Amino acid sequence: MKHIRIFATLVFMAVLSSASVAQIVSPVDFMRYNPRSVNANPAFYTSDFGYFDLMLGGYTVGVQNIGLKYDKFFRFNNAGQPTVLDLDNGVASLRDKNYINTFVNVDVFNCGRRTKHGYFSYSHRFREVESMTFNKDLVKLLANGNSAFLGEANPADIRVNVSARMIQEFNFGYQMSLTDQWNIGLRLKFLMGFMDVKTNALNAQLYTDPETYALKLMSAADVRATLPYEFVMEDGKMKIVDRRFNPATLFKNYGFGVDLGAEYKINDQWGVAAALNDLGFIKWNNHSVNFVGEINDGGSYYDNGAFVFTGLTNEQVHAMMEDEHFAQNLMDSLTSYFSLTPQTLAGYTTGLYSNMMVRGYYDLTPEHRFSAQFMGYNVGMGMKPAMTLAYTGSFKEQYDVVATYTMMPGSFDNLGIGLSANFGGLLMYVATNNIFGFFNPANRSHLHAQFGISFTSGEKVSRAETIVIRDQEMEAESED
Amino acid sequence: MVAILMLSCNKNRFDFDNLETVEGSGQWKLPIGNVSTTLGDVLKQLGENDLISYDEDGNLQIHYSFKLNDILKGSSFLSLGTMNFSSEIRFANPFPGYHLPDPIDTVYRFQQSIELDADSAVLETAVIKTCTMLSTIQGNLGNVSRVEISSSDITMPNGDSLFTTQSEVDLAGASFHLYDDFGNPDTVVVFNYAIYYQLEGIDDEEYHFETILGMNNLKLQQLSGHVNQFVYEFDIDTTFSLPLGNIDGNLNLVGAKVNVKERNSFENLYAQLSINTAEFYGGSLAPSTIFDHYPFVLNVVPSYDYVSILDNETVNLSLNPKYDAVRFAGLVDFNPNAVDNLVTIYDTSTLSVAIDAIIPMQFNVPGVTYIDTISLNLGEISAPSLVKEIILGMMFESELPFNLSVQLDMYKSTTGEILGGLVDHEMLVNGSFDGTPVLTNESISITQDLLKKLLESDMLIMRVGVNTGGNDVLLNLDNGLGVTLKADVLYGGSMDVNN
Repeated sequence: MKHIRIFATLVFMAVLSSASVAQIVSPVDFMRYNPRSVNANPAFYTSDFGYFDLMLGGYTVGVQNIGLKYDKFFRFNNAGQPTVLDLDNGVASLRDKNYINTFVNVDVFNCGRRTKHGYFSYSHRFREVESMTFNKDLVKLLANGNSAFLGEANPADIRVNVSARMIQEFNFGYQMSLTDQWNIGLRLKFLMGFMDVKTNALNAQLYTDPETYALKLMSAADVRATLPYEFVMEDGKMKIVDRRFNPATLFKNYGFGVDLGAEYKINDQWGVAAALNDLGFIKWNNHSVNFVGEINDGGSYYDNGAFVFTGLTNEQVHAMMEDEHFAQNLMDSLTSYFSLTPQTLAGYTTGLYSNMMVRGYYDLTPEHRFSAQFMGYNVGMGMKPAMTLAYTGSFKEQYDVVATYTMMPGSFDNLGIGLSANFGGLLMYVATNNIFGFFNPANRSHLHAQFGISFTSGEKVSRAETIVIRDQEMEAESED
Repeated sequence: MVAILMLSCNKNRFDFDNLETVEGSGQWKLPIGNVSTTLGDVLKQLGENDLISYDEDGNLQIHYSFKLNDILKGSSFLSLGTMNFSSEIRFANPFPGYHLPDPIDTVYRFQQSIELDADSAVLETAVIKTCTMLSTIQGNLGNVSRVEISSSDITMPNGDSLFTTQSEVDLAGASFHLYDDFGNPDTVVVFNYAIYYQLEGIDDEEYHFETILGMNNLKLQQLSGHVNQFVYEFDIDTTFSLPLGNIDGNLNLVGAKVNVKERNSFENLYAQLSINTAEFYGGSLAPSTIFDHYPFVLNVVPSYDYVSILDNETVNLSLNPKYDAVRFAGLVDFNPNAVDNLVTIYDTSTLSVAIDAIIPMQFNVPGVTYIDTISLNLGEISAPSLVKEIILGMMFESELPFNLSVQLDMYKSTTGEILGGLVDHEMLVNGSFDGTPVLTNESISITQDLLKKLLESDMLIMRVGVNTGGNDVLLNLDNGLGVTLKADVLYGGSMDVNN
């Protein structure tokens, strides 16, 4: 039971925790006078001579909820309070596969400076990302019973994936304009993992025989975790030594990553860009544990790796009539079929949640840009696509106004907006990728907010001017 | 700030204080149990039972054994009790009123015979187990100085004939030898009296005196003689109980066998056992006779061990579980042919009869109903409002050689009201008459209304009907009944979360 509690705690932590650099689409990615846009592509040009911020530079929070519609599960009174939990309607509204992602990104320190040949940047940030997917069978079975899952070919196939990760990132970026058409960028990342939970398997299949109603349960659980607590194994049981937070745990579990980007300006109006972000890994080797759950041969209900319940046996029926502790004894015997065993792990390696983007844009005028972007992003559950159309209005080298519309599987109502303004070196920005999320957050597929304050220095220099200046400087050097 | 402001507008949507009901619907299909039992299992549960057994093939049979011990005891023959024999003697006084100056010592001798009367036997010899012989003399003989009693018919334990001058003699261990002067057996014991007295003369016209010879508590240890025919009647009731509960109806048992053994330790004494009544009975039911004719006569031969006198006699029985007693009545006819054999009877001789009835559970049942009640303690349980119907599906797999029909009625004992049937029809479980398991599917639909009635009731009245469909069937230990029980639980509607 203790292991189950710990396991449940990990899952709960994973669900509540949030993660990382939100590698889903943000209007900030399309801003032209905000150095944060390089988060989407390290090749994007930064017009400021330099910038820095401390603690206020960037906050990103987001919830991505595909499938679970709060209002479908409840009916409300005139005051908007839920009065009826409507399970049938709620279950019907679910997708076959549903997922909830949450993420938080907190920039601790950012700075950047133009150099002779490019632009150098440095960031230190905390990233959390969590993702949980579950299929419809899980809720449908609980709410509507097993009558819809009859036969060997039609089990209630419950699959849950949980992934949660909390890391620190120290990155060093360099962007360089090769020509007046090509920009390239590179960002190297040194990572320190604080906590990680990842389900390799957490599934169950419940088969119901249509004739006898015999229930066959097959299940598997394989969860790896790295905890911020020291623990020991005693007699096969896991015991956490000290639950108090130890700051030293922030500096364990090292990893490396890289972002690669390129931008090609076809002509004065058209351009394309592409990036691969978060290519890398983390080696988790501090307080790592592997939970393995399986079905054991606990007695007559065990059959070839499955728990098969065909009803109470003769002996159990007699015990039910004669033994006042029958229910407790039955539960005790049933629990012997299921085990969740923690095993100490020397370490394991996980890849970063990578994403890739391809963008094309058209500058109607120097102030008005229209973009189309395809992004594949991964928050731990495989690559998911996002298609975004964006308008960026950039004015007086101070202001960015961005409007986006993003489509993702199961999510088509993402109308985003972003504003950025630079008042004499004080850059403030705010953005969301789904303005509707604030009005009805429980029923929208996205709730997202990103904001921050930075200080910029120097005059704005366009990319073309940068090329000219650089060429002039190189020519002067050669003459010398 | 704007975001927070907008989000705050939605806070009511997460206020669950007014959540009142849960609505939903669905259906669970659940296996409940897979239970089977055999008649052998049932017998085990009934515990030790001398009545029902099984043969080497596992066929069930009623094995009913009982003994009629000591129908006749030799000691009852040989206990003669207390007998007094008196004799009065008179003879003339030749000189009435004359008195002798000096008394003259004289002796008067005479014989007294007693007859050991036996209606059914002529005794020859007998060994006395207990007896006290008392003699008294009363009369006008004058001063009696001594009385001598002797008998050559009685031999004392030391081998001498009886000779005593005592008025009280213990005859234990002595023996009678009852032959006449010609050596023929008779029943007369002759005592010779010699009375010594002083003759003085009396006024009376005659001398007279009375002798009383008492044989107190005369019990014989052994008797030899010739026994005539005599008859002893018996009537024996034995109660029992059949462990079959409240069953109404007759079991027509087929192929019942009866064995009878006897032990007759009366040497050379043959007898006939005539059974006039042998029947099961109980309550107000008509008795069920065991034999098809009466009297049922059995010859009883002398034997110190039990010997069979009836071997596997087939009887037909119609047994009703309400029978709780069996009665045997009749008579024992000793020496029925009045054969004049010399018979020795000991006080330990007995006649006992052992009856061993083996009744295979082979029967036909035109229709027997078992009625019982099942107590329910469901008072603390309330009917969940979301549960609309529970359909219990039952698949019976029967090897029992009889059909079953089951009715279940809900009963409220506080009002005496039958609230209705738990099942809206008579459930049938088909039996197997050729050894092949027979499947029967049945279902019970428990609606919410029915569930409320079930919770309202505190007892189920169960009526289980049994019939063999016109077949003679034989129960075997391996005959089994299995039932697979499954449930469809249909739920739907609203459930108040505040209750």
